[in-house]
Amino acid sequence: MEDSVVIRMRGVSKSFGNNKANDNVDMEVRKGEILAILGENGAGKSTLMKILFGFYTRDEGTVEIEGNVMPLVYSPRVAMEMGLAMVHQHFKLVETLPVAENIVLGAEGKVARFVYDKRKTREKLKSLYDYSGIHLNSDTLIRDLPLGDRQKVEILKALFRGCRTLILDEPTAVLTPQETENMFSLLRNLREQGMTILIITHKLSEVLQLSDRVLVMRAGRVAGLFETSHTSEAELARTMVGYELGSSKTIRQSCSSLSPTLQLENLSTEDSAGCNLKGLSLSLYPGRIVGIAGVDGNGQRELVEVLAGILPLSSGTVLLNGSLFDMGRRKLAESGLRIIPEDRHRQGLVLPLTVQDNIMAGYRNRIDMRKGPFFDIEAIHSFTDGLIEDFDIRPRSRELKAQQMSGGNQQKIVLARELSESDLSIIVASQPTRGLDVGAIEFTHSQLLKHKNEGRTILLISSDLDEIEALSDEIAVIYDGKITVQRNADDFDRTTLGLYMGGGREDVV
Amino acid sequence: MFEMVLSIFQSSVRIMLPLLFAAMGVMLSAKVGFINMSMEGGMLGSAFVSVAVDMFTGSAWIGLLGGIVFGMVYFLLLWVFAIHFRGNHVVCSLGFNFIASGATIVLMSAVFGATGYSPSVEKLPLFMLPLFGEQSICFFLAIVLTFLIIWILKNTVFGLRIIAIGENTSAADSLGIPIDRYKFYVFLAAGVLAGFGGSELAIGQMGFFANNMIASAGFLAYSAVVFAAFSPSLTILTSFFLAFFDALQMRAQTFMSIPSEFLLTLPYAVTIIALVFMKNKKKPGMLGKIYERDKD
Amino acid sequence: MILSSILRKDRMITFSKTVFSVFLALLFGSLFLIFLEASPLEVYGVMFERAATSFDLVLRRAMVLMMSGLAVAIPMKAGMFNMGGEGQIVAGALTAAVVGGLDLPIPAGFHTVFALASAAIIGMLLSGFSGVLSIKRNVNEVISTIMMNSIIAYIATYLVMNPFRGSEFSPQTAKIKDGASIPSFFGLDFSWALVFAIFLCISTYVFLERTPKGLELKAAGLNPVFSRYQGIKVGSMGLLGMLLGGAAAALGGAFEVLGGSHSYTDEYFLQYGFDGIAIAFMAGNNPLGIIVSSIFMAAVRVGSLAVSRRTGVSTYFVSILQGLIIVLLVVPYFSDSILAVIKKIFCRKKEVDHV
Repeated sequence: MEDSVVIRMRGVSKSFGNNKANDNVDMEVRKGEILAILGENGAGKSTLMKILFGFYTRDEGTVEIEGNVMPLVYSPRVAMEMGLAMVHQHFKLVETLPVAENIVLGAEGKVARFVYDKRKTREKLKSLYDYSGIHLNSDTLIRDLPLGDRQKVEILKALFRGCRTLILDEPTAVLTPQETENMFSLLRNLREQGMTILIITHKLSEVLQLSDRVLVMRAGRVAGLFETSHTSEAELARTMVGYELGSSKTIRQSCSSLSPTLQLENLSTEDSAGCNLKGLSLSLYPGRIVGIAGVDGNGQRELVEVLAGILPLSSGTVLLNGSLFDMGRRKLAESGLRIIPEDRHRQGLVLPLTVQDNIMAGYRNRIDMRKGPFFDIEAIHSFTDGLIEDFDIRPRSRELKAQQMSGGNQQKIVLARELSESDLSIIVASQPTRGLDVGAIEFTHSQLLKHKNEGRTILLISSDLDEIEALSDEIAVIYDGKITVQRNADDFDRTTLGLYMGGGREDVV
Repeated sequence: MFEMVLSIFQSSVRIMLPLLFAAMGVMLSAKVGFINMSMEGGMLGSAFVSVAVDMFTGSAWIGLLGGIVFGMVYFLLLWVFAIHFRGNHVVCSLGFNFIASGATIVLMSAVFGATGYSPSVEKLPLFMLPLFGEQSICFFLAIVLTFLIIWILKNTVFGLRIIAIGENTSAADSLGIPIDRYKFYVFLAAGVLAGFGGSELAIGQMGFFANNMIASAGFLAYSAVVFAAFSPSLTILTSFFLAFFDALQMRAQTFMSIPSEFLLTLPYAVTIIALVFMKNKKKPGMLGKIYERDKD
Repeated sequence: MILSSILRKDRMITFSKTVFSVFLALLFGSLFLIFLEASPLEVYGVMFERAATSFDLVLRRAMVLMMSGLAVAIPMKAGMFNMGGEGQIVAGALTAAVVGGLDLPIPAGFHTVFALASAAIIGMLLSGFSGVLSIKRNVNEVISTIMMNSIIAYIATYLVMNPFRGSEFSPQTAKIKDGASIPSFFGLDFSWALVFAIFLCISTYVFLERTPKGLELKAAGLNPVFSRYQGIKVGSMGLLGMLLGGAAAALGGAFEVLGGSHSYTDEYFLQYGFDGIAIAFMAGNNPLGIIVSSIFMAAVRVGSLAVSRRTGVSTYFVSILQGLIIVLLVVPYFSDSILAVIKKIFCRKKEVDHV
């Protein structure tokens, strides 16, 4: 029984503008194996799979599927004809339709020509359920299904189309531990039946429990390829996050006896479509930067929305300077907490408005900016010009529209607005340097450090470990809606960080 | 007493026919994610064309055909602007309504040599039915078409895909379903329905064309679909409900002392009230959203 | 300075795109005219000739149209579609006629102001009603405002024919008291209300660009997510937009009654509300631009009366132009593709010439 190679990618590279997402990647997938593709955000694993599946077009390199050399450009339809199927992280299901219809949608030809017979479909699906070992009620509407079952529907979709190679993107991202177990047995079952499986993940436990081999990616390159049985969690973690770079930029404050500025105790939310907070606790102190490390999608966005007052809490308490803060009635923003949001286009700016308008949105009610009911134009001009100067926004114009500025300058507008408040005491920076060039990153970091040195409280949320390590006094890891560990930055090394980010718990690591 | 109730019922059915055609068009469009506020213009244009063709050919049937062809052309053009060129649904719909209403008035004298009302033309065959009274042949066509549409939505692959596109266009797209093409088919269907609706009123019931004869039936149809929560079968009920109020106000004018103008506002007021009290405004997930495939 | 030239270039591009869309609309309109066996040149010629010679009438129409444009533009800035201009203008006009016709023991100027204020309040109530329904009960305001148009039209007819009837022979209210009227502008066909209307357009511009609330309104309409992060109440801004829009429309109607016709006649204000949609779109919702586009639209309207008399083409031809204009303005890709095709034709021609 030879290990025939089902997929071969050689020298694959792909860039998005300045960002080299995949850099000369070589990989092979053996028939009937479960191959895990491990890496953090931005490592390039999703990009690689999307190239394989035909969503993206590679810049260079060759792709072979089942021995067929693939042209440079091909569509997902073609990939599907080659036996590939992809289950995305965000399910592509029609919520108001039942399971059976979602499974056959787009490939109804197998059960119907023109007239669609619901009963006949369900009959035919019975054998699919038996074959796969997944038994679902054909008539349940997707919106009434728990997330674990929705995922099963996605898998059934792939099986229905006769796929031979299944690609799963972060399959357990939204599953409970129990559902995860079920998913694992299901995948092992499919492997027994000869299916080749590729799993994109950042979770070390999954990799170890499930895969035959693991391909580790970092910064767009292949960082390592291991037989799962011959490797360890520590080795994988180290390979995934890389070795510590250079010296840290911050002068680390040791745990002081100052009282906390902000205490979050057991915060939980229910309303998010993503990862709800599940009892998140965190304390922030003046003059310190707490960096929250974690892979995207583990509750970072929800935490910021709670602090912004946009996402309501279902339980938990917030204490500001020791006293209880009523999150339902008041906004932390009015008490000196400013947010640098993750998505500068959607949350941080009004693109069609001018630089001046974007800045003044945050200062519109200041008395010194007004002359009676109107804006004091002189005051605003000089205020805005001053900020443009201080924050080195180029070109030096308050009349240009935000959408005409470069990404780095757009972020500077956000910084100028959020960090110039006189009563500023807490800064929440969420992915503040995402998509920025080196100069802009430097600038942003220096701003944060400046405020830290002036005694302000800073919460930094980032999926960039270099950034976290360079700036943080304390590091906390967020995983599945909770803070799983919070320690002085000095107490961490990359391996440990990797372990926590991959789901390790304090008692186990 | 019984005669009056029966007569109101029969009027309701007559008034309901164009409304039902329009509502079916709106409902189908909504199923595929398009806010169709343009049945008004489509029906008005079809009414005009059907009367004109009837007058020139002497045959009401060919007039009906003309009306339907116009409806299809109208919605084909609307598809070009709203779907192909990704225009805002509401603005495109309303814009086309303006064009249709302006065009029919402007062409009135050139085509009919009159202003305000066209000359009378031969109507489509009428039948005297038990219970339903005097109805045009479109009564039967309406029943057939309505049930055909409901059947197609529930029991064909086409219908299934339409619903999927309107609920989650990205999901349908990822499965290889050609989105714009399916929307095109739906637009053509809406055009046929507008053709029927306008022709029914003009050459089925009235026998002539009058400026603005549709009188907001297209917008009432939109509301009927909203209170039916976009359900095809409920739309039949809500269309009847609105038609009933219109028939009621007409009858009420003769024996009630409430001024006629107030009664005329009845259908519109009822629409607003019903919309206010509808708790669950369930609608297709992608309604109104302009879909562009996110290709990074 | 490179900067100011970038800004100017930007505005030039938007302006040219608008002009091009209007031009395309006129072009398609002329195709229509040809189908009617009318000469487009003759029609457009008559139109603009009449507009030029009766410019004071044009300005009188523009006065109402300016307000109608604001009635659409201000709510749109806040993210709401106010299609109720028709009804709001009628309500405002009727209110002004009635209040202006009352026997009130107050000095002349105050009577005018009182009439105007009453009109504005009625307008606000009507548009505010639709606004509240939209925000609190998720009732599409396009539908509710269009429904209200019909309701208001019928009620207005009743009111004019019965309680407020002023004339034996025509459906209109009694003439307003002299103390309530707005004097004419040096004997020309339009009144000082035009100045007030222009002032209101400028004030709207100042409000939007130079006040905190104006900034909040713009932000709420353009990016509600951002606005929530900044503590701006998106719903309240939407409602404010609707209220201001309704007041503007009603004032437009009031201006015409108090300054021009001096009484309200049933069916007098047809189409003014819908004109506002095209006017707002052409101006890109910019209040200063509305001054210009409303004069343009008024010229077209006044001109169309002459066209109707001399060539027999109905005044409703304007509706066709308006429909074309607004559709063309929301599908920029369309004008862009046509421009691209034209460029290709001209570039190819050049190459052929060279060879």
